[in-house]
Amino acid sequence: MTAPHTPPLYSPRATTILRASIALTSTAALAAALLMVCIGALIDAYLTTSVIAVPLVAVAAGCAGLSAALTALTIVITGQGAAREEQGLRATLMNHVLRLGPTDRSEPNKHSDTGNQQGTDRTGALTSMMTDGAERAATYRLTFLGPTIAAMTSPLVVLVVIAVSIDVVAALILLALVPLIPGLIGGFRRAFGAVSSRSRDQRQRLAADYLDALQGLNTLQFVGAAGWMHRKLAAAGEVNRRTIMRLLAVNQVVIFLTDALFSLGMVTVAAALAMIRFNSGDITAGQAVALVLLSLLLLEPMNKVGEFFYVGMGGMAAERGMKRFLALQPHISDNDDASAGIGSPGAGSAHNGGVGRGESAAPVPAVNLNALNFSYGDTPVLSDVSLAVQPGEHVAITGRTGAGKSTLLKVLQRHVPTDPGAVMIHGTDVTSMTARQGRARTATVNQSTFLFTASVRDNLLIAHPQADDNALWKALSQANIAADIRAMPHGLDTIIGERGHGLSGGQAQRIAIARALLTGADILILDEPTAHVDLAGEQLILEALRNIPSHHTVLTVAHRPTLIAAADRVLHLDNGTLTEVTS
Amino acid sequence: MTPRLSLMRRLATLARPVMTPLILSALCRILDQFAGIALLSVAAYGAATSATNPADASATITRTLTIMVVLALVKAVLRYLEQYTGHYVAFSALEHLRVWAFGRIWPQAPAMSTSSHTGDILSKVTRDIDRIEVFFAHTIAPVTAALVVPLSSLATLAVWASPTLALTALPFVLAVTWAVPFLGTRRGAKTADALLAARAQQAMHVTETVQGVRDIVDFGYEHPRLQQHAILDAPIVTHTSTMWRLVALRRGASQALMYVSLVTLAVVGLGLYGTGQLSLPEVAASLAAVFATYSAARGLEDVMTDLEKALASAQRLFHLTDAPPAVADPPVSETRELPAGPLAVSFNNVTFTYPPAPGRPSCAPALTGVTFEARPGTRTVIAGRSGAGKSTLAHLLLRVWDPNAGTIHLGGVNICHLPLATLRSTVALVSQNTHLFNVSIAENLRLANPDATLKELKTACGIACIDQDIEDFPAGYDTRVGEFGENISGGQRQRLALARALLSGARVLILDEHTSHLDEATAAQVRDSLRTAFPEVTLIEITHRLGDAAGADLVLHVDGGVLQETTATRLLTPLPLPVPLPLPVESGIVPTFERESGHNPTFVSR
Repeated sequence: MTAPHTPPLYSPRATTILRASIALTSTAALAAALLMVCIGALIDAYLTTSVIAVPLVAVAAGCAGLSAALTALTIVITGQGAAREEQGLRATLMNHVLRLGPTDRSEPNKHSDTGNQQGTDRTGALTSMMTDGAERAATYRLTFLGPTIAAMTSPLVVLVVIAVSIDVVAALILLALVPLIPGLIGGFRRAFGAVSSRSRDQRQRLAADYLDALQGLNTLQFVGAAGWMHRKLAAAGEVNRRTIMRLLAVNQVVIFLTDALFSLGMVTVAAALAMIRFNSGDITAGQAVALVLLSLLLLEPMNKVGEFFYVGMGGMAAERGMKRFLALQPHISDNDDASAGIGSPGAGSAHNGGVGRGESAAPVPAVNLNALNFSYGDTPVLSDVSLAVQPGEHVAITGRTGAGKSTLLKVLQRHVPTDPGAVMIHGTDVTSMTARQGRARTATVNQSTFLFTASVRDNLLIAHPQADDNALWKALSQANIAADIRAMPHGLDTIIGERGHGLSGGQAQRIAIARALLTGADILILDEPTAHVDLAGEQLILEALRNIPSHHTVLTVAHRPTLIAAADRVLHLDNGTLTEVTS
Repeated sequence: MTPRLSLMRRLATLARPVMTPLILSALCRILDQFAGIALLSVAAYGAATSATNPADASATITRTLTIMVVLALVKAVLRYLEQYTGHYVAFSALEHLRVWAFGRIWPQAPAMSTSSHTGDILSKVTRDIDRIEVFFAHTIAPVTAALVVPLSSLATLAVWASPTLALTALPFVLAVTWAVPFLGTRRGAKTADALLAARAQQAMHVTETVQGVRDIVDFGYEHPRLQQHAILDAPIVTHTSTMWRLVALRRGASQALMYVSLVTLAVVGLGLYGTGQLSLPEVAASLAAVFATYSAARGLEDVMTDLEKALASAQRLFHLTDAPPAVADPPVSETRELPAGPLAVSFNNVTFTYPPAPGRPSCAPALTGVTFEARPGTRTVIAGRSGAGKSTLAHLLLRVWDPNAGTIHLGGVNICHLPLATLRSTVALVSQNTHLFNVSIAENLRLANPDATLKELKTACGIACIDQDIEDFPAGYDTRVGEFGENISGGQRQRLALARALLSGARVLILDEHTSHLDEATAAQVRDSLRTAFPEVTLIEITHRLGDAAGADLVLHVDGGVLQETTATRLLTPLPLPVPLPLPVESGIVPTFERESGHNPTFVSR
């Protein structure tokens, strides 16, 4: 289940804390057990001398304080550890989300290998895994697991105390019963594994459905379907609840068994041993009472069983979900492709050097596709596509939906893998670069722009974190949006919202153009940048595109005649084949 | 405490549907704890009896063990019942709350959704409800038990054994039950609030990272974005650690009190034995009883942290659910019926200003003194540049908001006198940003009419010129739409929205820029097939393409929130071609020909 590249969920510190918490909890149990022995000794001393033995009282009080202090210390250490590990988990998961990139999420239909993808790949599920899931998992691993393991082993500590200070026979008889404890808990765990993961899947899907419904609330209202959706979600939740309750009714029988066996196996047996061993003269009256009190400490594992539902079940399920997610591999892994393409006999190998390209007689194309083929599984999408775009040239690619335009762009943006030699950027084979390096060579303006809930400045800095305000304003005015930003209440500091709320689609697109210009990449990829913009907005975008400095190479996927008219050369993509359109 | 108490009272009101299992759960818990105390006491009593009365040893052993076996079995049954009813309450409360909250939130749309972050709402309705669920499922029963069990147990001790011994134990038990849980309560409450706020902000940020992953990856912005997350995580780490330190303080204090009280009781008990006031079995049983009592007494301490979180969550959730919807159904006495047949739409001197919202300070009126009448079954075109107030007109007709002044009538009835459901099933809006849900195309279409047959779906899609596109998808009408309709193009989405509106059987159809993704021929084709299929529908087209005005029965021009009646001819009368001068953005907007596109004049800003 775990792939070779899967990063570990927790830091090494987590293991240290786990061990420390086991040691501390066991020591606390030892102190508590000694306390009970002291009380027994106190009784015996009084029975013989009729005087309270003050030193014993002092030792008992010391044990009480020590046990309490160690318990508190364990909680402080594990709690802090859980908080840090939660942060680490979130970072690991977030890193993986970014490593996987957008491709895996946008093509659910094309990955038939993972049947459950539909539910798990969605924003709601991912978000909930990184927030709620990380918290559950870290709390389980750090604050719950150690003390629980200690609760399983602390009966042994108590038995040692009984053997040493009360009676070896009683300790051995109780010891024979002790393996029942982990055995029962183990059985319990196994019985619950399936329920836990099934209920988590259902819960996550329901959470994703709620998010979808919340995001589509306006539409639901206008169509008059909000009430219907409300009832649908309610019905789905009710089904979910009934399933869980049915499963619990059976699984909770384990609770009955555990409770009964502990009460009978520990407390009752301890009482019987106390009475029998006293009658046979092997232990004193005080020791008999101490043995009964100690039996309560033997119940510690049982008390943990109840908590198992709330912390254990959720935490383990969350961990499993995370491991599954982290096992997903990106299409282009940086490790693979940095080595793959070097020295490959690609068709365009003549340009491999790329040194001194400014001086060479035949200029090296900015983008060169050499007999590029691409298919999703068995479905060919691009066949034998060749194209050389010269530096500074503006090329438009047209074609109907499904012709392969988006795939061509994904190839250029390094979201999908290609054969060595098929794609050259400024004479360099993209497979000889890491995906990151490849992406840095181009800048993209998509059909619609996602703007983060942040200031205009922060949204621009995504493209170039070191850019100063002068550079930002320059890019903004090239993108024909500077005046709009100046007119905003706080200029560059104006917060622009989720999915670009507060800005028109055209304004968001022009911000995207400014962002692309800021990257410094001299190859711009425009994926129908005016598709979701009205014609008035399109006009402003076209002006922005005319402002693009001439040394930029521009590759535009276009439908609209206006956008096509701006290109030097037009190519038509049909059924995966690219042909030049003669004007 | 008062706001907390009123919060708890409100939560208790919400808990009414799960009251019976809740009471059952608490009752089982109380009885289970009594059984546990009895079990240990009987054991200690038996052990001490056999020690003081060796003659009768075997009888004592038999009697003691028999009672213990019975008690153990009864206790196990009670525990099973307590756990099962507890879970029943938990899952029922969770579902009940979720459905309740969604039911309180949706009537606030569409007016509210422009001002709240989706991620924030998500965090509220799922996470906060999870926390409140804890209040119902794992708070009420332990608190009730903590209230009942320790005091009854000590009272029994006082009557059966010795009031002195019971009084000795009393301060310890009381402290563990009622004082320790409130150690650092104020700090805890403040930290819980801060923690929730920090988590909500993180959740929003996480949502945006997932949604904006393409941009982050394309720009190589991974590292700074991860750093931002780390910064947002810092307060979460601090506050979580603080919460755990408070837990540690309480747990340590209650453990210390418990163990010290045992030592104290042993000393006092032996003293009472020495003066002959108590027998040894009584002393032993008392010790055991008090020891066992603590597991009940600590009930409140165990749930205190959860309680803090739950109350903070409840406060935020109620804040969200309590916001009144922007519009409401008319009272029954004022409800009117719509006449049969085609409907007229009329605006009478309508003025509207958007209400101020966070991030959107109060601004100038969006519409001023708008008056017009679209006669039944006619086609009206409302033209104007984007931002002129065209979509606001549509939203007012659908009562997203109510106008500040003036009235809107539908078929002669003031729309304020129509139930919202009637209004919105009569008037359908095909807007630019229709949400497609992540279900199949057929299910998306059936939102408007759940009973529509596949044939009806196909007919509607035929009129909207989207049927061929759908047939071309691998799974046809069963094709799932990706999140935010990722698998569907903008033009297809718009035509799907039209098909959905046609299925609703609406008598007034507002088409908001529905031709913006269509070429001229398709747009004309859609218009013709629409008119042929639905001759009686009152059509209102909102457009910035002046060519769309051709053949309309009424042409209106909106600019800066002011509406004027005009004609297609007048709109289309060519003005001199624009001189490409870099004028400020605020400059006037006039109808002109757009040079590049050549065939369809439009409003452009110069």
